[in-house]
Amino acid sequence: MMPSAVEPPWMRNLRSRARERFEGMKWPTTSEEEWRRTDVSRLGLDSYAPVAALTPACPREIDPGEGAGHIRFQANKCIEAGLDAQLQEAGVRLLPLDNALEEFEAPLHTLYERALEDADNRFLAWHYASLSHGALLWVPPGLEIKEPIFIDFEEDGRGTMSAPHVAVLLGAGSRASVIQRITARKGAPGGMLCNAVVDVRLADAAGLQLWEQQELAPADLYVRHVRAEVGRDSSLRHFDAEFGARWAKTRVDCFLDGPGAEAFLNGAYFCGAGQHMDLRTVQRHRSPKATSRAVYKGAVAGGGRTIFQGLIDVAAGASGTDAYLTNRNLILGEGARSDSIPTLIIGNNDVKCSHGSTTGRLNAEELFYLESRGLSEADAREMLIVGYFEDILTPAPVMFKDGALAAIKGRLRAAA
Amino acid sequence: MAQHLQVRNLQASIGDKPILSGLDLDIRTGEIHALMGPNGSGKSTLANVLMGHPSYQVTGGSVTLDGEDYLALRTSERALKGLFLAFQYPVEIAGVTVGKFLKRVIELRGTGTGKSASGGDKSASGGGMNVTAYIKRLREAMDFMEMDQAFINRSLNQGFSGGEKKRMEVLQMLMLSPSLAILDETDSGLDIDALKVVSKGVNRLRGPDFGALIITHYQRILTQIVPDYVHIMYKGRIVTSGGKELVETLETRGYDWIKQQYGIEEEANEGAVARR
Repeated sequence: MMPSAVEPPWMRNLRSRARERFEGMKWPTTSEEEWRRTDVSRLGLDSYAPVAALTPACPREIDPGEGAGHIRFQANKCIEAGLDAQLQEAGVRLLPLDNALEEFEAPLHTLYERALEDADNRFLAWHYASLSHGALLWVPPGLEIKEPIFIDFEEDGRGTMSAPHVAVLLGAGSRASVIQRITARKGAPGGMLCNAVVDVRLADAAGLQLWEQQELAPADLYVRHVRAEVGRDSSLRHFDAEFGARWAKTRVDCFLDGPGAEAFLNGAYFCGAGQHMDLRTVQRHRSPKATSRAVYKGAVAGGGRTIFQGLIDVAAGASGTDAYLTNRNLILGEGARSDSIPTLIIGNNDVKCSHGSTTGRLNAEELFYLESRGLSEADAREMLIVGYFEDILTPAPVMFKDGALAAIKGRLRAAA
Repeated sequence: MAQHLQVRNLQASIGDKPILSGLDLDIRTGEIHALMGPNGSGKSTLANVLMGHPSYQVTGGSVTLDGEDYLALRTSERALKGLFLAFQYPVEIAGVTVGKFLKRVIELRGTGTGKSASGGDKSASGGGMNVTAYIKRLREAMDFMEMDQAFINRSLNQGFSGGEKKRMEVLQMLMLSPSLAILDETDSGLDIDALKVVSKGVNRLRGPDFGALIITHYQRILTQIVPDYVHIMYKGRIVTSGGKELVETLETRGYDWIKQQYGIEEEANEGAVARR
């Protein structure tokens, strides 16, 4: 795919090197630990054609409505964008990525170079080579945005590969909350590969909440990498709500780069019949005295398959690390399979690290109790399953929580 | 509405183990029955079988409600017909708050008040519930049960003490206003103050539209809730029934009396069957 002529030279250069990386790599195989349970060889990945790279976007200006800002993409194009006027005045930027490449060259270039250097699989290299549409959020130092900012991707394609991208840059001491939704455009036939990346950089004492929900079409493939650099005393809360696509492989790679940094990596997933979901979190402690928590909860219907791989990786110098990792799975039917693989790599003795995982079924006594109060079996199951996800969604903005619970109920009814 | 639950020659087992061995019982609204008996006599099994617990199999006999086959109904249908079971060991339900749970189960009964649980007006079902009236009623019932209102926002039974769980059972009973309630050892593990509160809850519903089966080991709850009928269960069936004076007889003579009186006879019969 030819890079767009409007792109600045640094981006064209980055793309061509990403292209070289892509061509020099092979698709991951099951001999690699991260891909051991997720075989890509039968997905026909080579048949997916990248959609056009970034084209100049001139979105319709909209009122951000209930959020502080809203940017919306449909079928690889930015169609609407809006930001609260006072925030705009204060220097906040919410832009289609192609409009940000010049103004934010310095931070983006640095960030993307590091991301490309870390790219350890072909999907990542392909993403930067073929990055097709995306948004940038920049919050200047010291500024706190209370209301959430919405980033919506309504994907549509058949036999194509789209590469949506989000870059979030928070200045020192700033705060923001982002709700990012990747969904199938209404009426989309499905059958595309969505290869998304989110790059996050938090300067010192910044705080980001990033609430992601994925509801692609049943025939779609989904791969998504989050790469987050969390600086001194800064805090990341990431939430991964995974529901759609027949095949999904996600990773959240969180770098705790300064003392006092903290990360909460949470996820909720519902895997229906015929779906394959492989989710990975990495808590990379590269600095002393950082804290991280990863808690993922899933429900797997009959014929569904999930893999959760969590890694806590503590560098030699990262003394005083406090890290925890847990995964729970609820098996809802016959033929459901769920693997949970937590791993610790500890390079320092002065750390507090633990992990745990459980897999179970709905409790028959709890079902009977609810039914004895008049709930039908289906209603009782739904109440228990929603209750199971409830605690992990409690800190979420109401809109996100309601959206995730509605998706869970919808999937549950579809699986019944 | 008057209801009549009729149990005839009921036999039930768990796995291969028979527990109920031909039990007869009649409970009508307006009546309070006490069911007593030694450990292992099958009292809790009866409660679970009447509510439809999936671990028990009915192997013989019948249960009818106003002449209709009751055993053919699902557990939830039995509940909506007006049966309520206060559990001996209420389970903890994570992520489901007391307030949300009660609202949902009252909605299912199709009225904002929880009255007229069966039959009658179905037009108010679904979204027709009066939420303000519901909350007012819930708060009033919690006051009556001497429960902290903070429980409304807590997950059902999660982290509750034994006594709090039992109060929560009776609170649910007050809110649902069933026509027939089974209280399975609701008194076990309660101190005298908690026992009085729980009894107060049952006595509040007492009247022509409410019947109850109080399963207990101990006489003391029956001084708070005075039964109209007392049944003694032994080896899977009711061996004798009487009025409240039976409680006193049991108090003075103990369960050994029952065992001597009915156990020997039972074993003799079993011997007779074996010789046949």
